[in-house]
Order: sequence, then structure tokens, then C-alpha cells
Amino acid sequence: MKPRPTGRWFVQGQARPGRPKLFCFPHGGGSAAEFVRWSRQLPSVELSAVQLPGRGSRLSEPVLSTMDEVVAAVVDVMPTTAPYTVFGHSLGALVAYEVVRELRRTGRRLPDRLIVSGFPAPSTQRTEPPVHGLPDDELIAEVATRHGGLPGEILTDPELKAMVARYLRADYQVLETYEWRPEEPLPVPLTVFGGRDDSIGEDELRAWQEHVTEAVTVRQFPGDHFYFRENPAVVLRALAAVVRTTAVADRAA
Amino acid sequence: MNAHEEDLRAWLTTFVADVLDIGPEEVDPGAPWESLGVDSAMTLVLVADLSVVLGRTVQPIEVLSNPTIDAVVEHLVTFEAVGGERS
Repeated sequence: MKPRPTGRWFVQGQARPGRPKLFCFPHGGGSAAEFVRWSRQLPSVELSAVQLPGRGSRLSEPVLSTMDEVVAAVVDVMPTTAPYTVFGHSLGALVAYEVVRELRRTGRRLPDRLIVSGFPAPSTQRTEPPVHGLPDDELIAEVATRHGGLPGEILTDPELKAMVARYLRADYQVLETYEWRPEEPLPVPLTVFGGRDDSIGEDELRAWQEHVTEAVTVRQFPGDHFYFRENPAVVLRALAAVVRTTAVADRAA
Repeated sequence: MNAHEEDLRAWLTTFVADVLDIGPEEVDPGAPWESLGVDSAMTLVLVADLSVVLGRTVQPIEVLSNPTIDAVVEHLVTFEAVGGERS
């Protein structure tokens, strides 16, 4: 198979050849940039983050609005020849999980570990009313109310608002049209991160256990849905420890 | 290339170096914003600071629609050369 360019899809932090790879999947409306900023505090890994079309330097590209499209596109370019760990936050957790399931279906190397953050187990029935059909203002306001993390200036600048609403809508459409399809649990160790003050409770985080055959570790940090913005040093130390422990276990196996 | 252009490039490079906590020499002015760790929220901080430096209101879209430091510098220089019309 001809190697495909990954540059637009996976934005790399500092190059660290030979280090375990960490692939990060952003939340709805999120950007690879936030993870790239983590790279310096995670010297033991070579970090890359997924940048979906319609944002950042991919602003002019058509957005993707279904899970199947996103997963197919990512799996197509994701490099899986060397050992790697996958981390996804919020919608990114769900995308990461579905990407790993697709990697298994297509016989590719699976990650040494999956780390999901701020998202309930994928089989959980969603109870929040859908927002992806709302007008731009209401869409942005509703997402800001539910999860925070959106600067208020977005609503006061018409061009910025239209730009953000376009990819935010696409991401929420991915989430809100998603249907979990039963499949064998993944043979992958799983770590679940969350914020103690997030609306997603510990039970919903623990429910991820039924989706893997390997051990699950749940770790909750002080803070809300974006707990890692409140105390990045603590979270990044924990993340580095999880990846390092996984890599050591991998070598010992 | 004029002095003003170089000043703008240096200013943007320093901004990004501060964000990433790295040396200015490590910042690639031809790299896309996301690979420099600059997202739309950070862009808002950048345009607020840039507006003070330039003495005019810089719109977020002027940065977001120009994907690199080099592209933004070129846009800003052109913007001033044509007297404030959007380039």
C-alpha cells in the first residue's frame, strides 16, 4: 500500500524519533493546536494531534459531518507501524474509540493503550437534545453553556462566529448522528480521565469497562469538562506516566 | 523586504515562542498555526495584542485566514500598503 501524506491530518509536536507515539483527538470544536502545546511538557513521547478539515490551516476544506467519514479518513492516513498510544477528549474520545475499532476490522496494529477523557461509555444513550440544527448564535451559546471552553468574543465578531459555527456544527453532527453498533470488546488496555466537576459522572466513565477486555483505570482530576486547562502540569504528568508505564509493559511482554 | 516587515515577523515569532515556551529561533515562520500551538482562542489574544502594536483593530479572520506567520506578515504589509482594503 502506498504511504499517504499525513501532514494535514496529523499535526506533529516536537519531533522525537524513537519515542513512543501519542496520537491525540480533540473535542468537538477543538483544534490540534491545544495538544501541540502539550508537546513540550511530554518529552517522553512524540505527540501528534488530529486536525479535521474546516479549521486551522484546513479552514477552506469541506467539513466532515458523520462518524463514518471521519473514521475512514483518519484510518486511511494514520501511521500504525510503530508502538503508539491514543488519547481522545470528549468527542475525540468517541472518535478515537471508533478509529481503533476500524483499525481492528482492517487488521492493523492496535494501540498499546487507549486513553479516553471526558466522555461517557459509547453505548450510553444520549439524553441531551441535539444542537447541530440550531442557528449559529444558539449553537455556539448552547455548547458554551454545556461545556464552556468557547471565548465570548466569538459571538461578537460575525466572521469569526460563522467560521467557528461551521466546524462546531459539523462536529456536533458527528456526535449527534452517531449510533453505537455492538461489536466484540477491544483487546486494548484502557485509561479513562475525567474532571470531578464535569457533568459526566464516575459511573459513566467506569462504564467504558464493557468496551474492552483489558483492565480499565479511571482517574478523575479537579476541575470541570476542561479539567486539563485548570491544572495542566498535574494532568500532563499523569498522562506521561500512563504512556511510560504502557511502553515499559510493552517491552517486557 | 523592509524594516517594518521584519519587525512584524519578529513580533509574531516572539508571541509564538512565548506561547510554546521555546526560543524564537525554534519557531518556523512558514509552519501552519496549529503546528505552532496557536488555536482560535489564542488567535483572539494575538489580535488584541497586535491591534495595540499596529494602532488599528486587527480582525481575527485576518490571522485565521492566513495560515502562517509569513502569510500574516505579508497580509499586514499589503493591508497597510493599500490603505486598509482587505487583501
